[in-house]
This record gives sequence, structure tokens and C-alpha cells, in this order.
Amino acid sequence: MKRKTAVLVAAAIMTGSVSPVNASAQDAPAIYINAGYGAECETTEIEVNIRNNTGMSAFSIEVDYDPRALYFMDAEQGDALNGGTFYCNSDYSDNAIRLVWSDSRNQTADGTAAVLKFRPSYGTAETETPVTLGYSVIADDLSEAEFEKSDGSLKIAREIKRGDVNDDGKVCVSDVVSLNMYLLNAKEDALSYTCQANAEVNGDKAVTAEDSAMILNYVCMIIKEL
Amino acid sequence: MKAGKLCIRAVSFLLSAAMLLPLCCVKAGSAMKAGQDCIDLIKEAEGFSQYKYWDYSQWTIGYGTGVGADEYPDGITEKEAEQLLKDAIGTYEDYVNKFADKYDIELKQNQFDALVSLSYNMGNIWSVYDDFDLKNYLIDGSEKHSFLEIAKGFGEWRKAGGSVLQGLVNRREEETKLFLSDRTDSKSEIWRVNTESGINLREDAGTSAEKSGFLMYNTIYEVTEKKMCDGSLWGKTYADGKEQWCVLDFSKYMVGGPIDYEGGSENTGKSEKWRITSENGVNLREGPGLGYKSLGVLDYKTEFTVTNTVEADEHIWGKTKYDNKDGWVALTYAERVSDQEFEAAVLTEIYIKSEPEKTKYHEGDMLSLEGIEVVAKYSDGTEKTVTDFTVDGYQPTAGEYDVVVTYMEKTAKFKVTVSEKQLKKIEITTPPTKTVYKQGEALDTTGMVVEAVYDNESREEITDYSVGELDSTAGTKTIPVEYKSFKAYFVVEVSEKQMTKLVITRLPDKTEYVLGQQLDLTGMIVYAYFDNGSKNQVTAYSFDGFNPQIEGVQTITIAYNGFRQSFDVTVSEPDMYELPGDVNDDGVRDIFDLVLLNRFINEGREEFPSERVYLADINGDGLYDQKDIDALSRIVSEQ
Repeated sequence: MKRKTAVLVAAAIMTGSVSPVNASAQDAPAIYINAGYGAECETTEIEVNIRNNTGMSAFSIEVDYDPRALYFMDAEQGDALNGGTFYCNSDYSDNAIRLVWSDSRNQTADGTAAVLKFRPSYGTAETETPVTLGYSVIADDLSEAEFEKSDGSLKIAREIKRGDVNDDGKVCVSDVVSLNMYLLNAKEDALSYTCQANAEVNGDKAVTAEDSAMILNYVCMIIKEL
Repeated sequence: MKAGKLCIRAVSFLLSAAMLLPLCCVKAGSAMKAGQDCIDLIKEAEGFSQYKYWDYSQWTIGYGTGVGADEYPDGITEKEAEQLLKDAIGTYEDYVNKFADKYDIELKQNQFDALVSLSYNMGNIWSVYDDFDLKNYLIDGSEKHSFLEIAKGFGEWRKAGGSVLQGLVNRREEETKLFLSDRTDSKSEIWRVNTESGINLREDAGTSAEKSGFLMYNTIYEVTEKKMCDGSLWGKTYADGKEQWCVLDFSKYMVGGPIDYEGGSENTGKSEKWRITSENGVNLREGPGLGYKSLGVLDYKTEFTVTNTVEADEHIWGKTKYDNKDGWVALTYAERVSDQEFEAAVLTEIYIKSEPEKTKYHEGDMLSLEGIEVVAKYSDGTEKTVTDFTVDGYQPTAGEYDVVVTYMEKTAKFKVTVSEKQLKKIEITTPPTKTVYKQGEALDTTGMVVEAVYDNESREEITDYSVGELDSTAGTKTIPVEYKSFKAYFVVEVSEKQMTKLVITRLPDKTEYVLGQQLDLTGMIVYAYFDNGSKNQVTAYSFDGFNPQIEGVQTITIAYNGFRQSFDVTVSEPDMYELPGDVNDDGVRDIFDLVLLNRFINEGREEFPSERVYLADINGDGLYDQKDIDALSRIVSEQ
């Protein structure tokens, strides 16, 4: 049993990953949507993230979504922002969410600038709905800062059972195998959105080898929960 | 023992003559004539004046005899004057004789002489009015009355021109002696206070005895007992209803006695032989003085032994024993027959036997000699406590002093220390004139008198004190006055001041507004005036009457403590409508404005035109705070 587990882990590590970010340049300032997976009729969080932050004193971010697929519930300031004033419009009848943040200081941290909470509508399972953004960022010198922008989409599962990659109702080594096979060839060994959502266990909103390793550790009882 | 101080200095010839004359009695009704004693007494008392002079009410010449204005223009001789006196006395002899006849009084010659002398000097008014004691005593029988009463009876006639004259005092004294010279029934002595300052009476003999009374100058009093104490002779007298004592050094013996006392005739241990040189012989007297009773006569050439001498009545008196009687002889009428000599005791030095009780003083204290005893030391070894010394050298300022005591050109000294007086307390002896105030009035201490009280109980007014402040509250206030860490207090009443009016002395800097702008009262100065004349700038006023949304002239009313004042401001449309929050004046409210607003509110960085600051008050509450950031954030996010 121990040898088999080691082989599987090694296989997982050898495999690549499916990245949710389509960044053209990894070192360019970017602002992007990190949506990941959500379950039908269950609240899910979509992040607006910043990377390679060159400094900002304010931003105004507009998020568009399909109101038929998603019901916007709330928005919160992300932990990349240290203080300042964060405000979200209350009138989003135009299906646009406008997030306004400002501070008297220049902030340069990377990370989550805002967290949006949506609830996928009933009947949207196994569909993918886009979440796009527009932005305006004010740098410390009151100039408009340039960021690469990346939209995102939310993949909607029927329900999420963490670790049950093959959706057979249990978490075992076959889930690790199924995941690894998907990671090796997503087209041939495709997974439904529900299975992908079950596979994304480490919370980074992407299905990667790290999720495989984590499920394997769970199966091997190295970790006790997912 | 200096008995000379105890005895009256009488005119020697007067009593000598009185002693030699027979004491004859004259019946009333017979015309008595004045004897030589009377003539001599008058001559001695009046003195001789060769030329006439104005004596109170008449021209007088010779021995006080009244004459006409034109008589004796060239003066008079002594012989003529005596004859004139005898002639003039006739009138007064008649007065006395008629008085004796009227009341059937049997006068002795000495009594008659005394009364003629009195009449010659004072007229016969003494014999007319009943309220003069002497007249009543004579009618009643003078022998029934004591020496004191007789002496005081004569003593009622010591005034001329309304004042007691010493000449009359002495004259009445001589008349008293003459009047009583035939009587031997007195065991007491009559004395007269002979010092102008009077003498103290004490409960017992001695200066340490409590003071109990006082006898004025020339008071005639009776001494019933004598004794030596504190180096002085003291006499017991009856005054103010009780027996009291006084020192006899300051009185003059008049008549009566003598009273024996312990230590009155001390024997010096020396003796010498004397012999009488007066052919008439010399009286042996009970005491050293002419006033003492005669115990007998030492005949011419009689030799006697003198064991002690004193000076009295202008004679040197020698103590001797003759015919088994101890007595005193006037040595003027004798000569020394032995080789021994009594040297007159010479004062050799004085010393301070007891220093004053108080030798430590504070500044300003008067010197106290209480308790001092100064002793005079004589060449014969005798000592005497003296009191009539003088002191010098004391000053009531801080320092050490030798106080010099001087007596008869001899000196002694004692030390005293005068220390700086210590402040004990201060007292407000007179409070300020103004003690009732209105709130806010300044304290006024005019009229206040503050005194420094020192440990020697001396006081002095001080002015360089500090006074506490009067606070602005109403009520009873205790105000401290401080001087060199000592405090005293006075109280004032402060009543509440009443506000009388509210005055805007300066309008706000801004009186022109555009729509939407908040009222800004910066620069406005408002005073409240009070009935005490004071005024206070006030800031806690309320105001109303301003609406930033209404165009036109608006009357702003401020109110304070029930008083109101108004002024006008103008609210007009802005040339271009200004968006609250558009601090960067780009015509939109966006995150650029938000950044500026954040920096302005959180860090005070004013990175937009100052005239647009009011646009940062997004919510219009007059404040620039997080609420404005929130408001602008909401505006930006919602638009």
C-alpha cells in the first residue's frame, strides 16, 4: 500500500497543472478575476486579484456577470488592501458591480483586492458563466496606473463533494487516478464541472497536481480532511 | 540707718523756742496775745521784704504785712517790719480771741499762736464756716481729736488762688506742730507725702508686696507702725478702709510719735565723748530730729558718749544715753572732747545686688527694672539699698548693651540683650472698605489695615503684603492676606453678576455665501455685557436663521443666555454649480477626487485649490471626516 501511494504521488508531481490565469506576462502588473468553481444554488466566492502591484491609492473596478446564471450577493474588501475605504454600489440593476476603494496611502501589496459572493442559479449546473471586469487604478502620483486585465468564469457544479473526483460517492485512490489522468490529458480524460469542482480541494480555484497530492495524502490518511 | 531721711527738716529755732517757753493756758474771755513763737513762725514763713510788693490782693511789705499803696515808698527796716507785724497781728489776735469767747474755748498759748498765724496768713474764714473741720474740732475740744485730724484740719488751708502752694503746705505744717506741741498723747506719727510722683501703698512692707493703693503728693497720713524692710523704713497706715504699708523715704515726718522699730538705732560699735556747749542746755530727744519728743535736757558742759551719728533737720545728731534714757542730741550745740572721730560716711561705690528680672528683650521693648536692687556702699562699711538711681545705655534695638546705673556719680552696670523681634502673626485690624462685590469685579482692598504682631506684642502696620485673588464665582469668599508666610483672612460677599446685553463687535469674515455652502461664523466676536461693568467674550452661543438652500438675504440670529442679536448674510447662486466632492474641479466626482479627499481628511494634505475645500464637505455637515469619504465613495460607486 505504501509503495503504491508513493508511485501515485510521484506521478502526480510529474504531471502539469491547469492554470486558470491567462496572464501574458507573469511579471507585468495585472488585475484579474479568479472565479474557480461553484455549486448550483450555493454561495461561492469569486476573487478580484492583483499581481505585481506597482502601487495604488484608489481603484474603481466594474464587474459584469450574467444575472441569469448568477445572483450577486455581496462584495468585501480583499486582504491585499490594508485599510482604506471600500465601497460597493447597491444599485446593480445594470448587471454591473462597481467596487470603489481609496486610501490616503500608496498600497503595493499583491493578492485579493475584493471578494465577490454569488449564488449560481438553479439549472446552471455543468455550465460555465463569464465574469468580466473593467478597472481604473490611481497611482500614488495621481496618474492612472496600467494593469493587464484578465476576465474569468465560474464553472458550476451540481454540488461539490471534495475529493470525489470520479463522482462515485467516495474518496479513494481512484479519484487520484482520475485526477491525474485529467491533468495529463484533459481532452481525453475530461472531467465534468462537478468532478473538477470536487477535484479542486486546495482552494486555489484551479485543478492542479497539488490537488491530486492533497487527495492522495487524504487517502493515505496523511491528512485527515480535505 | 540714715534716720535723717525719716525726720522733718524743721526750723530749729522754732521748736527750740517752743520747748523753752512755758506752756500757759489762757481762758476764753481773756485777751490773749501772740507769743514769740507766733511772731517767729510768721517771720520765717513770710520772709522779709524791704520793699512792698503785690501779694494776690494787697500791697505787702516786711514780714507779709499789708500796707497802703502809698506807704513806705522807701522801704522798711527789719525792726520796723517786726513792729509792723506785731501791730498787724493785733487784728488777728482779736479774731481768735473773739472766736474763743464765742464758743467758750480755752486755748493754750501754742494753740493760740498757731491760730493767729493761720489767721494772719489766711484770714479768719476758718472760724466762720461750719464745714471747715478745724473750727468744729476747736469747738468740740481739740484734745478729743487725733493728731491726724488736727493736721488735716490745718491742711485744709493750703491753697491760694485755687492751687496748693508748697509754701502754704509748709506753713500749715509748722502751725500744726505748734498747735500740737503741748500734747503727748499720740502714739502714732503724722507724715506727709513729699514726692510729687506720690507713693504706692502695699499690702505689706517691702517692694515685693502687692500694690494696694496710692497716696498723692502732700497727702497727710498717719503711721501706726514702722519697720525696716529692703533697706528702707516702712510705715503702716490706714487708708481706703484697710491697713497698708508705704516706704517712708519719700514722705516727711510732721508730728506725733515717736514709734520705735527694730533696727532704728543701730550702734556702730564706735563711741566718743562730747560736751554740751550751749549755756541753755540741749534737749535729749527720742529720735534724731527736732520733731521728736524731748526726754530731758543735757545741761551746759554736760559730757556724754556718742555711739552713732546721723544727719537730720540740718543738724548732726548723736546717739547717747543720758539719765538712763536712750536718745539723740543735736551735736551743733556740743563739742567733741575725745580724740576719736566719726568720719562722715562717704559713698565709695554702688553695686547691683540683684539684676533686673528681665535682661533679655525684643526690639521695641521698654527697659524694665523690676527686681533690680542697687546697693550703695559707704566708707564706714555700711550699705544701703538705693532706688533713686538713674540708668542709661539701653536702646530698644537689637544688640547687647551695658546698662549703666548711676547713683551719686557712682556707677555700676548690668548687661541686657535685645534680640530682633519675631513676627508672630498678622492681623487685619481694619477690613477693606468694600466687602460686597458683583461677579467679575476686581478686588479692592482700599481701607484695609494690616498689622504685624510680634512676639513682644508690639505691632506695626504693614503694606507689603500680598492679597489672594477673588475668583469669578458668586458666594462668600474668604480672601487670604499673606505676609512672610503668615496669613490672615477677610471675607467678602460676591453676588451673581447679571447680564445686560449681547453685542456683536465683529461680524463673521464670511457673509456672502453660495447655495449649498454651510454657515461659517469664523471671525465673529460676540461679547456679553454685565451689570458690574464687565464684559466677557462668548463663543457658546447658538444661532439659527440660515438655510444654505435658499437664495437671498438671510438674517442670522445668535442667542446667548436669553439675549439675541442678528446680522445678515447673502446666499446666492454660484456662477457655476459646484459638485460636492469634485475637489479637483474636473467636473466629475471620481476616484481621483477620492484620493485627494482621503489625503485631505486623513493626512491634511490639501492637494486641491483651497477655495474648493468646502466641496470636500460632501455630506454638508460642516465637518471634513470619514463620512465625507464614505459619501463620495458611495457617489462614485453608484454613478
